[in-house]
Amino acid sequence: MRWLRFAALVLVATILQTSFVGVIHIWEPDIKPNLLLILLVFFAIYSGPQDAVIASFSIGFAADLSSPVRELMGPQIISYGVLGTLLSDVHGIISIRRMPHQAIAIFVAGVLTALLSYLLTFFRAESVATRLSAELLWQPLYSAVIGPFLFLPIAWWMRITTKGRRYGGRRRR
Amino acid sequence: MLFTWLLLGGLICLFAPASLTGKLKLAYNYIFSWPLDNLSLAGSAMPSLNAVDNPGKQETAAQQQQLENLIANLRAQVQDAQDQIAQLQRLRAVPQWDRMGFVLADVTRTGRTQDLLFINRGRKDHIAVGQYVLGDMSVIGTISDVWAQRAVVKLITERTSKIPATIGESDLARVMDGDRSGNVGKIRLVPADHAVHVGDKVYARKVPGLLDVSIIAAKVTQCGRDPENPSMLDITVQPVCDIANLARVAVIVPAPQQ
Repeated sequence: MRWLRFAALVLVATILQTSFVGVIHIWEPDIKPNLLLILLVFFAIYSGPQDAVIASFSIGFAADLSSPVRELMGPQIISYGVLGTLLSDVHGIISIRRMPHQAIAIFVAGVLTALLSYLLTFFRAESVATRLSAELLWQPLYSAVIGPFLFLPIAWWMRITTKGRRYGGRRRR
Repeated sequence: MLFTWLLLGGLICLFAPASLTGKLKLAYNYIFSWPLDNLSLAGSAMPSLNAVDNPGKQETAAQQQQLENLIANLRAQVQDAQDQIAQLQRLRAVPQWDRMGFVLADVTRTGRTQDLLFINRGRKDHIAVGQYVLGDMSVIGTISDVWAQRAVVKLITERTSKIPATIGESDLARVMDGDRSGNVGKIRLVPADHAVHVGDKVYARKVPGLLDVSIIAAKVTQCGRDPENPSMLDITVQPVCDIANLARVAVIVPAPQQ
């Protein structure tokens, strides 16, 4: 796992998620893709078990940093970490390499992480000014539609093998 | 095992004090302020995919404005916090001042006679009557009245002000009184044979429990024999601080117990 590239990727995704992704919203500003969710599912599928755990919690940390909930951190660290680890374990049993399966994985992970984050935030007695329908349904749906298409450039950046092709390596004869 | 440790870390973050996690978020916003600002502006300048007018368009514009205001407010908070930190660091950098505690306060208004300042700190911030007040690293007065969330600073030039003082390197202890004419102070009962010159520094003498070390307060602007008592000097002093333009002061409070 190339951790420097991973850190740069997560950083760029966090900054874009906070500032620029709103440009591609549909109908309402809340309905936009979640780049960090897409990264979570990617690394859960394409990394080893240990790397997937670290990556999941790190992405959750980045998600908390950029969260609009003031002064609260932890809900998304926990939700992303737990569900990323679970997804990595599930992928060990059921392969999630095909695009339709990846889309379903992104949608389900999005719904569950949003639900868990909301419950943890509520547990801390924080009132969250957010529309649940956007976070629980439309955002994961939007992310599931575009997520699988982003897997290829992410894999190229991370130099991770997908479908038997190796990036930046020699061809064996 | 790794999962357990990381989950524990997440739980620690969840239950950490909000002040700590808030600082972390502010640090992120500060460090990446340039790309966040510019990309937000670029995003708002671009036409969105949703080109059709819908009833919620005004609401979304309002929400966007609220978020931009939130970012601006957070940035202002960061700047204010940094200014306070810099000021406190300057105070603590002075040798022997680390034994004293400081509460920074903003000047909200001045009194009608210009010899009083109103500040936005009070009893809730451990402010008490008699505590010394610093402006620009010099003593400017003492607390004369205090309420729950505000207090009054009586400047050294206020006519009822009496502050123990010494002149220059001398050990001669006298009292610096405020003068009725305003904006100046007087030091009386100094023997005429005592060497005092224009420009000599006047220090607020240390008072155990209130002022642990002597701190400069004024400088001598006039010195001559007292016409009513020629064996004594009539010394006029002025504060070394530009009080008229003072926006923030520091109140010397008892240092926190360690």
